[in-house]
Amino acid sequence: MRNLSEIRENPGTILAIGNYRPGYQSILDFDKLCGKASPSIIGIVGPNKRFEKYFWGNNEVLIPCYKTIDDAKRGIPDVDWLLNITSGRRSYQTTIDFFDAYPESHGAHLFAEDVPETAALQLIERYKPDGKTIIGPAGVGLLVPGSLKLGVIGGVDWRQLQKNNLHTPGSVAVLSASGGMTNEIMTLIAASGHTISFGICIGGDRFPYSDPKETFLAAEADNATTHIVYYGELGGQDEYELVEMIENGTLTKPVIAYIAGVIGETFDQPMQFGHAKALAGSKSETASAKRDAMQAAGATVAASMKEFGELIAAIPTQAPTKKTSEDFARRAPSMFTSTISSEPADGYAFAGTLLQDWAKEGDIAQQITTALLGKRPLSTLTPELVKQIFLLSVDHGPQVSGALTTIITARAGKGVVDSLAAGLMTVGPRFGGAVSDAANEWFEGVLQQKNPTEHVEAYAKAKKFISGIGHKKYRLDLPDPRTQILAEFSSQLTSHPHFDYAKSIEAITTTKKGTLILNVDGHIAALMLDVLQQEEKMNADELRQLIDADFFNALFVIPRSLGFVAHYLDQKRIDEGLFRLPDEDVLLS
Amino acid sequence: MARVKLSEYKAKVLLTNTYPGVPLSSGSLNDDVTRLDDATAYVIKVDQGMKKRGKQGLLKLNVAKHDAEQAVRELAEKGFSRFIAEPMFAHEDNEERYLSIERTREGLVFHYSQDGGIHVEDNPESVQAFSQDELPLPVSFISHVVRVMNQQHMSFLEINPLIVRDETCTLLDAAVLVDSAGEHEAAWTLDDVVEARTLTPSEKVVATLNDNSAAAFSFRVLNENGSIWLLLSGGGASITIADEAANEGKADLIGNYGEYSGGPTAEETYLYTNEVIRQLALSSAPHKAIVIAGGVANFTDVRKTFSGVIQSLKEQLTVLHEHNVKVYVRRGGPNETEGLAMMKQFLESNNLYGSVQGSDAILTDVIHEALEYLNA
Repeated sequence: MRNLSEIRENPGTILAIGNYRPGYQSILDFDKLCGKASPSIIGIVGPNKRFEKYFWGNNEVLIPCYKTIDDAKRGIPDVDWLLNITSGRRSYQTTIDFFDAYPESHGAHLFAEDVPETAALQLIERYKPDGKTIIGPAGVGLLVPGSLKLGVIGGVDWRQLQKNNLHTPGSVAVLSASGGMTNEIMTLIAASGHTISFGICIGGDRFPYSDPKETFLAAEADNATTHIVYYGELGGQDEYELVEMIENGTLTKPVIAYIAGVIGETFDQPMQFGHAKALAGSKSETASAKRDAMQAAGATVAASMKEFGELIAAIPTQAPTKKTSEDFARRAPSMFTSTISSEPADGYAFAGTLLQDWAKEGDIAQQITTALLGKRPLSTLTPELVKQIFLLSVDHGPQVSGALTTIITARAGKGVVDSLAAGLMTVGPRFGGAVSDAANEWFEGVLQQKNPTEHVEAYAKAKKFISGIGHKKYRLDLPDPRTQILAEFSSQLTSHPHFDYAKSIEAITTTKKGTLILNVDGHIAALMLDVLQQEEKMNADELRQLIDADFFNALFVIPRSLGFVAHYLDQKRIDEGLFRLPDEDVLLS
Repeated sequence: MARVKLSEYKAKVLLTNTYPGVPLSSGSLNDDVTRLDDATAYVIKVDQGMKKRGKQGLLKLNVAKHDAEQAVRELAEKGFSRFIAEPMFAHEDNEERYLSIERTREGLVFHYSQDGGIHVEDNPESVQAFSQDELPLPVSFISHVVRVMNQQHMSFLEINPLIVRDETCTLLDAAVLVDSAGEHEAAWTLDDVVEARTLTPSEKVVATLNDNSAAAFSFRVLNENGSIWLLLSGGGASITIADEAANEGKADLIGNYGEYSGGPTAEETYLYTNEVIRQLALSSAPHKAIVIAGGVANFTDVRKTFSGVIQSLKEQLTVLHEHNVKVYVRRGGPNETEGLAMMKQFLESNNLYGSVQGSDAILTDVIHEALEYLNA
């Protein structure tokens, strides 16, 4: 088992797997009560969300969520502990997956009660030689006051943690076969003015990875621990190992113990109690036999809970405990969340950078790209492409729906906001809204390794257009000068699978009709996908998320908004008055 | 969960390639006996995990097909419902061997005796530990058994007697404990698990509740006419609270042992409490105490679980008053204050109040208070 002094020096970070909000919240509460600067849980695998909100004191923080451990590994390169809250059926495999992904981690706690015996034994065989620390299967985990809470140990209500002083390092070690009794004993210890050095719930399973012997050795080796309080149960032979350790001098610290289960000796037939191991198959496994053996070896064994409490109270009191004045009662969940803006003491920050610093930096392409990605781009090619797209997309003449509507609105005497909004309202499936759809075509084509011919034929059969293909004026023999610039951009990329795929579609469609070329929208979509994938290291899930969020259409909407404003101002300068269609332009049928 | 007994029939089906036994159930006896062979003499045994069936008269030897139904009915009168019929296997007593295999932290541990059979317990010194390689049994047989044990999540296996003739091993009796947590990966189901006793209707309901819930429930009647009825929570705290009655020499007053743990819903604690009260109502004790107690929970919500308990108590007020019931409560954990206040208010206003205590009280004091009420 990992040395407790090492845990106190470097408590480490936790990746949680499974859905258990109150348990995770209690770990953040513990961290906050201990005065940590940030939560020990740095990621959660399981919830079908990108983030989950948790309270950090009376405020809220976002903990990133991942679908699988592999996803987590991409977002979190290193983590120290696994908190495994999955069911007994999944605990073993998810633990293996975790250690495969994080071979340098310290260990894990498995919460489930119904992990098969064979799986528990395989964990022992597999990870003991590596020196991994695993608490469980079953039980409530490990708690080192001031440092680490790995599990629901100590409770899930911050009031319980505070009342029992679990943030204050002390000198009494708590070792228990039962999760509930771990907490019961911690309550007894706190009530008598003591604090704990650490607590481990060994769990009531037949083969806990960290067995009583190992946890006692950890307590013996721990300089902070002066006394050991132990709760054991009928069933198994573990206590005889403890007897042997006391007798041969490997366990010298005073032990106060309660062994439950004398009730079992009053029945005719051996009875299975709540924990898997709690069944006395032979005389030596009964609570009385184990009590007698421990008492004879020199441990102090309580005959009742009352006596157990008195013995604990009689432990010499150490230094006064650290009181906290934390009060988390003012908690209220926020209505919504923003990660793009913040208000540090020295001003307003946008996308992680103070506005005055954006001004000093003076790079609009950099700011726009950061705004769109939600973080600084990794590559200089990304803002470069954004710049090219914006420069090429600003306007496409007054005849197109958006510009025309802006012009008509401006001439109706409306202001800049109304005129711009009116123009933007026309953006949709027939005008300007094809970049996201084109991105979807190229993304799925590459991801599923579609055959371009089949792709085109499927659309032809359905009599549908492929987004990103086709232009009214330009044709194969009259190339669009804008797309030529974008196509040249591809030469700056080492590879460009989406652009290649889009071109292979174009190669087929242009044989059918010369105007079915890869248009501006199609170019923007393909090149941006390639840049995001290669330069910004985005995986398929992240690209899919951007497509679903209509990110690619934003690449059109933003520069074209400038174009609409330009048309609006142009009309105000000309000031031709209200526009009315001449009669010959309307067919009244 | 835990190690549970597999029926002898299922154990033998899994352990041997061609098992000639036929399962018989008192519910479908007419159909079951038609599967027996006319020309074969059978031994018919109770298949409910009982030990020493010969001594207890729980088996019938040399039964022909046309007598099988009668033989089973006679055994069923003793309160059993599962049986097997096996062809009689002629052999000498001195051919009987003993083999046991147990899964331990250090691996599988093998015990073997040349002198097997029903008297093996009389000379325990003949049973000795062997490594798998040293066992004086056919290698193919042992490796097969070990493979089945691992695949089928068997934790303990005892074959006695075992008859070995050349390479052929015949299992005359086999007792197998399986790890209930392995059910989803094994070829047996919880229907193949046997209890060495008949469950009361309430015990059956709770067993079903347990099988169908993410939380855990147990309920076992210890004394039908007991006066202390336990509704405990948390695996460890529950034993500790029950221990206190034994410490006081009053274990015989305890009607049942029962606990819930693992964060049950209010609906589940409601159903569970119904069964405790149903069983309590059958007791002839003049005064009764319900002890609703547990440790300081880590995550089980006190208010939520108590709201189910209260709902059940409320519906059965008449029964509770008829039986002179007082309720004694001790519990801690999430939403402790709210849960206890709700319980106290309910008990006081319905003339059921014994005491209500929280995590500041000693875990086991409720037992003393209940004993005081019962004048025990």
